[in-house]
Amino acid sequence: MHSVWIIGGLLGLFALWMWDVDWKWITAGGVALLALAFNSIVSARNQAEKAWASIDALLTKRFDLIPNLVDAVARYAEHESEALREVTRLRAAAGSAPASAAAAAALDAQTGQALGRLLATAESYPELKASENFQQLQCALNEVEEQLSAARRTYNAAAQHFNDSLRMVPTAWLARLAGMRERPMYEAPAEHAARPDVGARFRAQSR
Amino acid sequence: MRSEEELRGFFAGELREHVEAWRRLPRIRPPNGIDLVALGVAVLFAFATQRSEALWLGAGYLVLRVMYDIRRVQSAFKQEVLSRVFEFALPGVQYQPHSHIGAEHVRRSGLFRESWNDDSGEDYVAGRHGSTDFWFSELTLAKEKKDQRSVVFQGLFFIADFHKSFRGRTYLLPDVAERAFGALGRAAQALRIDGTELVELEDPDFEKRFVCSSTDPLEARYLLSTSMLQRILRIAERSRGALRVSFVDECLYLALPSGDLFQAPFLGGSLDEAALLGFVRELRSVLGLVEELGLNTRIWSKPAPAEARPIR
Repeated sequence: MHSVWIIGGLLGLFALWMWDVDWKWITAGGVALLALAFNSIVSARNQAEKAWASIDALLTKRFDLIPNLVDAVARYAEHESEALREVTRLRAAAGSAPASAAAAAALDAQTGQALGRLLATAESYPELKASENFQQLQCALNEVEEQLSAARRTYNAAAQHFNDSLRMVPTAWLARLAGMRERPMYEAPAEHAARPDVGARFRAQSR
Repeated sequence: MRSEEELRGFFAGELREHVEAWRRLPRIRPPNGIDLVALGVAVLFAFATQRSEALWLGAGYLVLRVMYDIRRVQSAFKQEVLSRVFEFALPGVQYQPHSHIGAEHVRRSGLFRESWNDDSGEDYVAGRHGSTDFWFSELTLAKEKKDQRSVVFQGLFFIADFHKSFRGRTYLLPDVAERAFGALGRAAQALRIDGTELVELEDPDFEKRFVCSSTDPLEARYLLSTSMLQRILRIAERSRGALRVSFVDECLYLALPSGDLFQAPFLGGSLDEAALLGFVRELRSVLGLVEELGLNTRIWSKPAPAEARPIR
């Protein structure tokens, strides 16, 4: 978006030169324009970092729900140890920060899948399904899932905006000088693309 | 919402006497003393001054009187018949034919950036549909300046309790600037003075139609899930004018340009079962917004309110 103003500014400087305006004014305008361009890239990078932090916070929030969910399910469905073990393992894996965005996305997708399987166990246990505690946890989990989805979209929009400014002239030249690099998009790996929709599962259970 | 069978039973039973009472109302009342005096003065004045303008004034008086009678009969229909129909169709619903959503709620919605200083409307309906509280009315907003009056909005103004909790403000307004000026318009939109940020959403069709701004872009995307974007787009495509939506104070506000909501009949003979069912269908089509927007899906932490509450 800033590129429109920057290009407009460059055209303005060109017009000043055509009108024989004093060089010191053109130089001052050029410096101001450079500062504006550089600030716009920094602002885009900060937006992407902020959005990334939101994903991180929401993933933590989701992981914080897991112990309660595991407790609630284990009380009624002791035999579903495989799904419980998987969720518990992923919860433990989340303790160490993922090395990259791709690793975070993979862990995110795996956790979503494992939670989907765990919630599916409620189908076989009417008492668990009817438990108020379990229902509250499902609501909370559902909310976090929606917030996570929003955070992923926000991050991708911010990363796209930042990456665009790294590809467009004149901001691309400044970014290269400052050693900035493109941010990866937050995409679930192909094998996790068909992740179960926790919300849809819950809606089906609520009927 | 009651079924058509139940409604037919209600029309044939309980409602019948109210419909009959309304049918018995005199349509155009015979002239009273005031009318005769007014017309007499007009005729005398015309003869005395030999000017025809006085006769035109008398004719104007008659037209106004007939219009008043039409309004009186229609108003009685809404008050005595339609309110009972709605109360039966959707128990607990509140229908006030001569009220409308208040100006303070319209201002709170932030849907109209154009200035307006006159609000009018009718057919205020409030109640609960499924788990969702709603309030709506016909509304006209206009700007009056000296002798000029320009209408800013005319149509349905709808408020519903939103099913997710949120704290910020998010607006979806018609994308006029980008349509008119392209990239420059979009760049100008990004310069905001209302404390919101421009939010670019993924759906290109949606982006063509709306400009989204919010105090919290992350929350905006939480409210506007991809399925919600599709739902709003569907409503916008059906709308006869530019749809406006906002999310403020845990409520969804929607301004949908439309014609008259509930057009009351004047002649008793024109009111039959089909006409009465038509009013319920119209109510149902407005409440269809609740279902279409998925507001009855309560799978998030925000609980449905214990009982329908008056608009805040």
